[in-house]
Amino acid sequence: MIRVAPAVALIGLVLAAPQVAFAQSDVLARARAAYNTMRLDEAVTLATEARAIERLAHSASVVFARASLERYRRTGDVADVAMARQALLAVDVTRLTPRESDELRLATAELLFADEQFGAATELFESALAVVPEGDTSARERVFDWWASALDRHAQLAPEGERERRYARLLAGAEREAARTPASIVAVYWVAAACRGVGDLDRAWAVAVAGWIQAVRVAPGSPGVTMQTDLDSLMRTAIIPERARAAAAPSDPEAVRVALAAEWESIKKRWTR
Amino acid sequence: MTVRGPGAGVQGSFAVLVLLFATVGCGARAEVRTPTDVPMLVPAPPPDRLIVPVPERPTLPDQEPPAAGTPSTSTPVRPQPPARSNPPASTPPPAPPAGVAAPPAVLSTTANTADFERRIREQLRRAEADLAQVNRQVLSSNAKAQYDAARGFIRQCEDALKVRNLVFAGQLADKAATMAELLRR
Repeated sequence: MIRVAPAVALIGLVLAAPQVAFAQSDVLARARAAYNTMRLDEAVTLATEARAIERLAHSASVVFARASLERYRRTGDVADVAMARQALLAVDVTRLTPRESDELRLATAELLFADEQFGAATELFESALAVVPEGDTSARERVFDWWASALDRHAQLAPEGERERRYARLLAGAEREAARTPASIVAVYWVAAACRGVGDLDRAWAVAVAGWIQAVRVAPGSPGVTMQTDLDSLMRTAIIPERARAAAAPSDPEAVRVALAAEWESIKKRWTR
Repeated sequence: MTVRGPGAGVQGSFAVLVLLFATVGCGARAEVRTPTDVPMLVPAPPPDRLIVPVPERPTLPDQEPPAAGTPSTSTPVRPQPPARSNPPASTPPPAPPAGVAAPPAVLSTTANTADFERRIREQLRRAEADLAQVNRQVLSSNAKAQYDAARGFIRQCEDALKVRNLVFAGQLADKAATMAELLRR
């Protein structure tokens, strides 16, 4: 009887082991779920807990970095960027699953964006875009939007000439995306913005009008509604004033600007539900 | 009192071992299954749009003017009327029409370069002053993006000034000043 006792204790321990492993993995799962619902403080806390578990440390570091970066975007606290960088530097990529490697790539790209390294961020977002699971249109649209935003910032910081080349790349990518996903208003926005960037203001106007009208049909509260606001802003801040300024010599640029603004308002009025 | 045979202990140990291996097996299966259950991280919401208006009055010309004799490909050249040999003395010289941009300055002389640099620094100072009046913490998400971009343009402009890239620095200073002014409003 005495000899059986240690064996029973051992069995008890072994039986408990999967429960412990499950509870540990559950911490990571909860950290991920918290991130996905933008409960960022909770995500950081849970990911920190998971990082202390050796077999989860690398996966958890990716979650920790992503949550920290997101928190930085909300608060502007640069300490979050520093923590995200440290976490990413600690990751051993060979300890990640292929899916986690994709998440790491996005985290690194976001960090580069926060660092204003827009060129490098563009490259990483482009490679991230290539591995977004087929059929996940929402994820694809977001990654594409990141890619386009990074390239746009990269172009805005470039001198004349180089700026147009970067916008030409953005235009090609946005056109590809629009052809691949015709319902994507995000892609339409970036076609319009890139047309403006390469100086094709007439096409920028036409694409922005088409995009705004397309966005009328989207459900209230969907990203399409935001895109309408963005297209309106692009039109009023950039396309209309620049088109007016580029008007042929005998025209009065101010009169052209007023006429274009009135036309834009009229289009919006006619296409409002 | 029960007398145990010599094989009883061996059989007991064997049973314990079988039970042990079975439970380890179950534990291993349970552990293998968990990593695939964790949800995938969704991509973060993309950043706000940053639309930088082209400044109405650039501090510097966009690029160096073409060398003499080289026709411009981008700016239409208005034909000049032939010079009169005997202009009427009573007619004053016509004022340049409003809205016509002055010809691009040449960044070749030391005096010009110093003047351009002074103007760029003045634009930067104005941008800094405008941004200083803005409290970033109370801005909307989109305005924060504009604020950060304006700061980024100022940093890049200072870098361009360090390497004496005045044309590029001028473009960046204009962008920074335009965005900072919009934010201040």
